[in-house]
Amino acid sequence: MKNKNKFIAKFAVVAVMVGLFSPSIHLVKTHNKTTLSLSVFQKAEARRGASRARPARSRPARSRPARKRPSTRPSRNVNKNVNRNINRNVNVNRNVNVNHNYHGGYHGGHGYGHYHGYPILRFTTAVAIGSMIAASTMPRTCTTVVVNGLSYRRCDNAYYQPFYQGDTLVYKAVVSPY
Amino acid sequence: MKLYTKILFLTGTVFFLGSSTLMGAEKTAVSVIKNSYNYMGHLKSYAFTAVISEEDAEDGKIVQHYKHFVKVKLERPNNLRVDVKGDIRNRTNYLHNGAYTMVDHAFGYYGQIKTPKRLDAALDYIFKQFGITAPLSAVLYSNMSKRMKVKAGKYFGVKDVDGVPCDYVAFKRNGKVIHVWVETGDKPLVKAYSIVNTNIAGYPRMNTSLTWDTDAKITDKDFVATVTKGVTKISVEPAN
Repeated sequence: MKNKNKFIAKFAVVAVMVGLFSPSIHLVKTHNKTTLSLSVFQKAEARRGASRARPARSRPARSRPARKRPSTRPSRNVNKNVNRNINRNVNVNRNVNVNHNYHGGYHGGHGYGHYHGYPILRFTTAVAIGSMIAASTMPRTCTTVVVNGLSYRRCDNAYYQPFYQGDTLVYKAVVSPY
Repeated sequence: MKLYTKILFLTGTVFFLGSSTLMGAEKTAVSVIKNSYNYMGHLKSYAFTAVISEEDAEDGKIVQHYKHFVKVKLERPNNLRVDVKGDIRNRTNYLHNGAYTMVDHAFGYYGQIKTPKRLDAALDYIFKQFGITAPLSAVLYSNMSKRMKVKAGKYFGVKDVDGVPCDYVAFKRNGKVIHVWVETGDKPLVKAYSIVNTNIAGYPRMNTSLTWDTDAKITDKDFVATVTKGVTKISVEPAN
């Protein structure tokens, strides 16, 4: 009886290990090579998460072993470890990808954006001179006129000068060029 | 030692050793994406078409969909052409001989700015000085593997995308979750990517799928800006 209990306990331990490692074997073709891949932690996560496509969690910064210091200053090793971890975080903040939209699209988000702090507006028949109008809201009935080599959009008796703000086409309400 | 103890010991040892030794050989999300960026960065020329679908969310619900069809031709180190046609944009963009030109077919305007000659520097310049972003620039830069600072991600194994086996990886960055599918085999090209914006309620998504032609017939003529009659030049000012 005692032996049977021991066996059950040991079997349970192995079963938990098997569940944890959750291995599977499959062939992966990479760069003209066919490799036998025995999957463990990561693939197990993949199997669980592939259909749900859960986001990746960032790992906390790992502490590195302290460099060997001269024996005259042995007590500073601990402090150095802390400093190096802080430096790693700074690098994460400077991530180029955060600042540069490498994967962006063509939709600019809500609203029509801003021009030097002033909102770009939807077209209306009565806008103040100097107002910025989103190109997407300009009526199709407006006509293009070119005066002194400059292009304008004329809507009724109002004139709008087009320009690119970055890559966004914007119209500025201007006085009549005539 | 009894038989079952031996079996237990052996099984445990096999799994322990198997996990510890094979962990190193596993593909990781970072290695997959870096390998892909390295490969694309070293290609002298290529062309691809892309379909970009974007969602707009309001009050936690998806209210609008936008779709753009993009054709890209690239020849390192100086030439790029991007034709965009869709719900918001109908433009051709050229980076050629130290000039960036965008021709707006829908509105009949074009704008032009001087840039550095080399593609990477020119893309950086139009972004930094004018706020102009190239939506597919991750697959345009020659040194994207160095620019990419992502340290961790998840590898989800090999998945099929339009009949092409792809390594599926995902990263989380700045409130966005980026899923990328990279073709397996000797041409690790980015086949598709999807960006979920978790900063906005409703989690709007942008999906991009690419069809590559690494043997595309590309001539110098492709990169010379063509401005048709009636298209007028307007100024380009920096975005805020």
